[in-house]
Amino acid sequence: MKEQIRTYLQQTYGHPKMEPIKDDTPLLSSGLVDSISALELVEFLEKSFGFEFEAHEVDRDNLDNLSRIVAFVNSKKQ
Amino acid sequence: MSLGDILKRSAEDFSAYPAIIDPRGETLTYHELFKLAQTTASWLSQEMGKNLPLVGLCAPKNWQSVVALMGIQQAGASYVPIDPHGAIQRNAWIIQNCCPLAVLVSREWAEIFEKVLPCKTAVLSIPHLDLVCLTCDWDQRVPLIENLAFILYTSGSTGRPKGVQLTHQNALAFVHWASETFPIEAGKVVTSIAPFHFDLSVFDVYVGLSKGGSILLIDHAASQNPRLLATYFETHKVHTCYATPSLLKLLLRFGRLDKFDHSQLKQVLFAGEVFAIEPLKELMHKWPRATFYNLYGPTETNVVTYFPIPEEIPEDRVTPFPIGRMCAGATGKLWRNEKLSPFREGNEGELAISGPSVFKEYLGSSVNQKSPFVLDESGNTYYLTGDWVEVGQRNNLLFKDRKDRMVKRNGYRIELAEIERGLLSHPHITEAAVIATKEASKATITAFVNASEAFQFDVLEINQFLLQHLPAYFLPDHIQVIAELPHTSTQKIDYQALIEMC
Repeated sequence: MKEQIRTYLQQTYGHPKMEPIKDDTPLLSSGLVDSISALELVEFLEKSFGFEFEAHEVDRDNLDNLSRIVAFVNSKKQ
Repeated sequence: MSLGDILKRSAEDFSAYPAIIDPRGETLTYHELFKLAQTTASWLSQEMGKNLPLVGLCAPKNWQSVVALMGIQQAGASYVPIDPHGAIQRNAWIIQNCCPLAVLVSREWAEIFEKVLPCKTAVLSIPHLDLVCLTCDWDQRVPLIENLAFILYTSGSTGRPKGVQLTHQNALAFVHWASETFPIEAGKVVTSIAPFHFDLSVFDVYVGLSKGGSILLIDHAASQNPRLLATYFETHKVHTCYATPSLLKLLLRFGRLDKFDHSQLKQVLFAGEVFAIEPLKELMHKWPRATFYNLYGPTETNVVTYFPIPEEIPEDRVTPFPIGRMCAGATGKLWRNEKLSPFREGNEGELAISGPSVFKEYLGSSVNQKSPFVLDESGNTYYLTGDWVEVGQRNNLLFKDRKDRMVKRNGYRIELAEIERGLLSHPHITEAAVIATKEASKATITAFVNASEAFQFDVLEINQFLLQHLPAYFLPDHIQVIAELPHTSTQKIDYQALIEMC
């Protein structure tokens, strides 16, 4: 799952003039992922892993880097 | 009358009605809000002395920051709201520019400002508020205009933000017009989506308060979370909503509007940018009980034209709706070839505005700067908006384009020169030019930079550097390194050539 999300992030937000996206690369707080892209990311995660974000969970704390995303998806799938 | 009289009067008329609803905090009645504001006001006068000219506020949007603003106002001072999600350097520059003697801030901002400004924590505890009061020492203070109510900073073409000074009369003229035009009854819920440093908030706060409305505070995080917004609209039975088309489009696309009951929503006002027809139609379909209005006006004038959107939009309509006709009290003319002329159907020109809501001058404006005002034959002052318009049927104005290098993003003004200045403060960037290209009314911002040879260019690093200087909505969509920027024969950057490179 982690690599699937990494691939999506890399393909969608990666940049040739940038190091590959690591587990702790800041996504939202760095401006790499803007607020609209964050909502698209939410949709991607919901579709790919078959769960739903509650309204209050669509939050920077759950989305700001790959590790956090994976931890959040895992917590939802349990 | 001053702006502070609105709350005073409403506290009598609507005492027990909810004035402020903070979904993550408290709900305050008019009585409670006024009492708290008075407590803050007397605390401020006691600690800082009477006749306090200007007080800053840099704190998250919640019930406490509303109390702080109202308290400053009840103390007879003017206020300057500063973006709590803004960049450190830019916020510090703004404070240095307007020189407030006191700034009410969150604890995080107190720590930051103490390091970069001649300000120190004066008193840690303000009664009832989790805010810190900083006091600042300035060698020289910039003169403020008479009857100043508040200063709103907007992007400046010199690369620095500029402070728009709005008087009580300016703000009241707008509030009176808006409260007559958009009916709101006591207890009806009005959203407050725009942050307080953005002029849309003047409607939410003061029109809401003047009519006994209940103001639903939407903070920064919630404003970027359409699902949560859609939930709030249902739970709090939102009646009137004023927002940018960008935000309304997000609600439409990500808010799952079909799942919610938004039948209480009666008025949807939008401003700040063009609303394309297709998403507007779709949104009107989702909210069939609401009347939609297009509002127009820069921070310098507040709303000066408006257009009620017809209930039925013809199938074949593709062009966006006009910005509409002049509001009562405001007068418009066309500025073209250094001359003002009255509206005549089919004519085009730069929109020039005169009226009671129009500001008088920027903060600290000097005689050397080009004045944004012109005079008509009878000596009336007109503000040149920089917006190119065409006069349509029945004097309805159609927005065509900007005259200069200003672009809009999420309704915010962005002067490309501010991004250039930000990039140039990077130690390795030697030259920078920023351009905007438009497609389907959406602006894409591209920055071209020339960097020293030793520099390993990394987009993420540049972004993070820029975020020290500029708010996130200023970030360019693309950054390209080029060996040499093209120049015109007069040695100016050739922006046209850069646009062609995109």
